[in-house]
Amino acid sequence: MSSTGATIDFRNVRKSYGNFVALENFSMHVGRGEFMTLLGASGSGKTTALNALAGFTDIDSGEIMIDGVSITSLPTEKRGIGMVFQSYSLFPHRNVIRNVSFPLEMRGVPRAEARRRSEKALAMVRMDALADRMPHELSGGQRQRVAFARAVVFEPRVLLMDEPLGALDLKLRETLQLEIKEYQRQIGCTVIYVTHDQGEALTLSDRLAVMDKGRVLQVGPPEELYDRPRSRFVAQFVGANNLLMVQRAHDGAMALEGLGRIQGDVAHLAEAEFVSIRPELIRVSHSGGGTHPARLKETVFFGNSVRYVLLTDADKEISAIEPRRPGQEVRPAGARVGFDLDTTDLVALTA
Amino acid sequence: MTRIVLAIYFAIVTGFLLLPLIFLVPISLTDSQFLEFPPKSLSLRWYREFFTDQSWLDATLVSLKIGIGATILSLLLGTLASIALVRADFRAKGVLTALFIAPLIIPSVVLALALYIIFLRWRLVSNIYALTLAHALIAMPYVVMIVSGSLRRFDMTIERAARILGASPVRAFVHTALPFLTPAMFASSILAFFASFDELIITLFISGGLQTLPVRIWNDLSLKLDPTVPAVAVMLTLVSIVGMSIGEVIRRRNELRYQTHSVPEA
Repeated sequence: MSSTGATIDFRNVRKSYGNFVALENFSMHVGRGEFMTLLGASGSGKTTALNALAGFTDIDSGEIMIDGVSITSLPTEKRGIGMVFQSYSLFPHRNVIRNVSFPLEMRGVPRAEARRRSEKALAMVRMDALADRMPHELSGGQRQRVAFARAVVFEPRVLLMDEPLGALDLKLRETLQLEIKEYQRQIGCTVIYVTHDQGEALTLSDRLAVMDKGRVLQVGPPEELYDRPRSRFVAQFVGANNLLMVQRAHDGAMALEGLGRIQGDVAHLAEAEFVSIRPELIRVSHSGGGTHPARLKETVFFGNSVRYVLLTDADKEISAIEPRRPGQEVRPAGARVGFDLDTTDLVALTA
Repeated sequence: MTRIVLAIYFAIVTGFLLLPLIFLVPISLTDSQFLEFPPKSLSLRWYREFFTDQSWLDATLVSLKIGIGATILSLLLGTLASIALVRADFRAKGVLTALFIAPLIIPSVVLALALYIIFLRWRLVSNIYALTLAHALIAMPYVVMIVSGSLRRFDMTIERAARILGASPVRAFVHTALPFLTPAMFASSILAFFASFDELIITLFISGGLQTLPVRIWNDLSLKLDPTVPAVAVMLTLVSIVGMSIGEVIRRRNELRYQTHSVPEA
């Protein structure tokens, strides 16, 4: 089972429901075989974008293209897209193999060949032993594997996944994430994956697009979005982060909310209104010292790391994460500590 | 205390529902010429009478033909109407829904008179096809109510899945929504069938020379009353119990398939 992925282009797509604008001036290019994730909260427009591509919703204006050909006026079934849903959406009255062979049946593939290809798809997701089961006899994880096999059995060039792991528990979610990534590499199709789980987005994607209020705020590879968020929203949505308002002293020196004046290289922050810094880049000094004095407000023990919530003297909460070696002491809440940060680690954000 | 009151209440209500049947069965099994309770001696004489009297069999056959025709027609039209009433978005939806339910609410005599006037004008009185059409009209509200209720509960993403995987709108509906609707369609077709099968008032107005089973019973009542009528009634009851049971089996099987909770992870 393999296919060459298609390119996908959204051009100035707009969709509104009454007064609610679900997608506004939405443009995006997805390359061949790319794994693109749309990340956002509910109501951000990510599902609307997916439904528009699938043909479940009409768009008000703009254009959607697969391999450079407009599909805007093409009915859903002619778009040649595979799709996996959060609710699995297996056909309850068909057994596993007949669920998987459904797309082939619809395409008039001869019965024997359809059976052979379906078995192959089931073998890929290691569900071949349960081919004769009915969907209600399967667990959630098994159902989603079958749904995946059904979505790729006809070798679509585009695969859409709408929060496919949303209904599963954490442990299974992590296993299936790795499986999905592996299958996609084998098949080679272009994937658009929708989720509100930023961890999932970072793990799976070649690139991800953070969406809010029907717009794309930032698109890029996971490392880029993690390391260099451009806006407050992205900085806070992708991974844990500390957000600080920039204040400028009257002599032109730079100060940060709750931290006061900062020394060091701040040239890259010249235009910033806000800056962010990741908790793992904050260095807590337990033995006194540290440029910024603080009090430990809260300590959360994770086993391999410890998260400290620090309260500066100006009452600003700063979150810090420290790796931990076995036997290393965990400071209790209330202790006086200090912390340091490198100004080069501060990321400039727009409002 | 409350339990005792509820138990008594329960006994009264179910007794009220079952009492006619409790009387009917022994009466139908009498050996006498007349309706008597309790019967002095038992026999299947009146059941034999039913199966040997050609006029009873003819009436049953007419009722069956009309009943099956009306069921098929009302099931087809009622299901299509349900799809429109549930899924389409148009201005007159509320009015149209009321219109489809109306034959159930409008007094039968009014409907009978209206149909009689039209059928007279169009020379359709004592036409079996016209009578079937009239019965379909009476049966359709049951189909529309039950099928549209079921369709509202259908998870559209299953149908969407079929669409994106290559099915045209009609094929997607046939492969997803239709199996889901099967129990509702079966249940409503049983109701529709009996709505037609035991319809009397409208049939009396427009049947002309056609004699359906209820009309035959009615004519019998006004001439002579022998225990064939209770025997027919008991057989009708048995047939409907069988029909309802099959409906229940189908419903349970479907319910199992569409349950949302899944088997625990291995």
